[in-house]
Amino acid sequence: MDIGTVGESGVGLALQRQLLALERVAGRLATARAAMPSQAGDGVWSGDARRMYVRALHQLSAQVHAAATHVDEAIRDTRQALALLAGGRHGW
Amino acid sequence: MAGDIVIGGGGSIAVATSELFEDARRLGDLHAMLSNCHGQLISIDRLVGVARLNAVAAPSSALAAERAMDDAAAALARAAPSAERLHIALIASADAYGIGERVAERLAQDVAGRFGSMLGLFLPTIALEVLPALLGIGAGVAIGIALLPPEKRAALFRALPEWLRRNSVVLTDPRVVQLVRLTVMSADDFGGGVLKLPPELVHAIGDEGMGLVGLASSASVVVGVAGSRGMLAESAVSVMRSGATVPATRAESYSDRAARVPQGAAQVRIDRYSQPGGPDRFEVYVGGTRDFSLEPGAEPWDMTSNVNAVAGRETGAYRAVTQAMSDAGISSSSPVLFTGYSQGGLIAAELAASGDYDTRGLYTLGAPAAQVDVPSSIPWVALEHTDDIVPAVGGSRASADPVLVRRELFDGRPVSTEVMFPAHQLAGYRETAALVDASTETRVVSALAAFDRFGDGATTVDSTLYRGVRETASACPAPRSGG
Repeated sequence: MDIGTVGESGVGLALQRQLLALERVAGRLATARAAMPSQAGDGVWSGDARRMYVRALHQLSAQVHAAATHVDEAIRDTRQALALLAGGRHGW
Repeated sequence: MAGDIVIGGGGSIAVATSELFEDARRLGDLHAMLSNCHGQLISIDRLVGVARLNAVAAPSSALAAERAMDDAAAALARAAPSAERLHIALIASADAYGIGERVAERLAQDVAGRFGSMLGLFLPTIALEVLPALLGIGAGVAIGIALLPPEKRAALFRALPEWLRRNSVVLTDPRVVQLVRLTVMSADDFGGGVLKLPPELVHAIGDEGMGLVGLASSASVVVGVAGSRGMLAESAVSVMRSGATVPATRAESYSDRAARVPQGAAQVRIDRYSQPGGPDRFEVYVGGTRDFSLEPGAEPWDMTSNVNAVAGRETGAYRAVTQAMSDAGISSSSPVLFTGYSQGGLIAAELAASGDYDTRGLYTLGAPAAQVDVPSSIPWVALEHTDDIVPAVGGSRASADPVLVRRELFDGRPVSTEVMFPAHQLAGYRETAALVDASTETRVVSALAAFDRFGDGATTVDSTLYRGVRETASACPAPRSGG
């Protein structure tokens, strides 16, 4: 089924809005990653408590990193979808 | 850890390193940001939706974007609560540490007080047991010293400060410092025991109980005994300007204020902030002890002022500062911000507690001022090195609750043997003040903001140094109320 031009279906417009919103989220996530505490846990506890804290920080960092990676993927895929729609080429 | 500052007090139970509070703040912010991102992703997901994409047979990449957004939202759904849990854990640990530390301090003081009381009570018995041995050792040492030729005896006394300097590592041990704090706080209990008062009564009326007697009473006894031997006797003072009044700039940080504390012949610096149509405001900086001898000379910043101040009596140094303030035009309604180092910090705290001035802030460095009852309405930031014996001489905190910034100056580095109390040097406190400036902990930041607002609107700032000297005529002042 041909969805026609971006303007006709409205999907293209929605994808454009999605792309802009995703880029804003990517920017906020970049800010969040920069604001994360030092992974070394300097000055925070010592011994086992510090090791557990550092491990938790690493896990948190990995989760935020994964979220950022998925958002980047979503941006890339959205751009690709928009390009296909604009070029009239699309399909599964 | 070397360089760490530990922040507590200021109306909060939380005690932790500056780094911990900074991490807690960051994690709190992070939680908010991640939650916001998660909410945004959910909203974005609603813009298009898989069903709509399927209905229009959209490109596969559009569906892949949907899946990636779902994965991102799932990751954020895990990350945001993780950040919140870590934030809460850090704050809870700071609270728990603060509570634990307070309980441990009270327990240690309680045990030390009871020990002091029992020691005083049984002193005669103990003395009878150990006196012969002590007399033997003491007599041997005394005879040995007496038999020395005069020049060698003089050399021995001259060498004593040097010996103390070489062994300053002992006096700079935080455990020794804590022991000194507990000992001075138990002196009243010891005295009660010597007077054969029941230990429970001593405990009830002492620092750990109603506080009717305490460190000030003990210091008063020392002043009384020393006074009968011509030592620690207060005297009149006079004050003169030390040079011309010079233009200056507003103080703008903890380290800036620490740098303005006078160290030379002048003991007091007064900076006047003037503005058109408003009252002059004043920052008063008071220096530390200049003369460590027990017999008063010309210097009011001496041991006589130190011990009398701890005893709650009006000292020569205190009167010298009030005279300097009067000369500078400071009245009871003039807004004043006090900064003091060592004995100067004790005087500054007493001036703030006196109620005689419109005190807008108090900043002390290495001051033995823990027992001074500064009203909680006055923002007070106190810097103390945990390896500095001087603040410990002021005992444990009574009712005042300053924002207390602590640091072990010689943690992880060799103790200097160039001076007798290396952790008490103003240079070390200036270094610590710079670390406090760099901290983002809420209490130190908001206190500094209040200090810095003090100079708002000032169009000119000028600075005057004052020097106080003792006069020869001796006068024993009455105990001062308050402070």
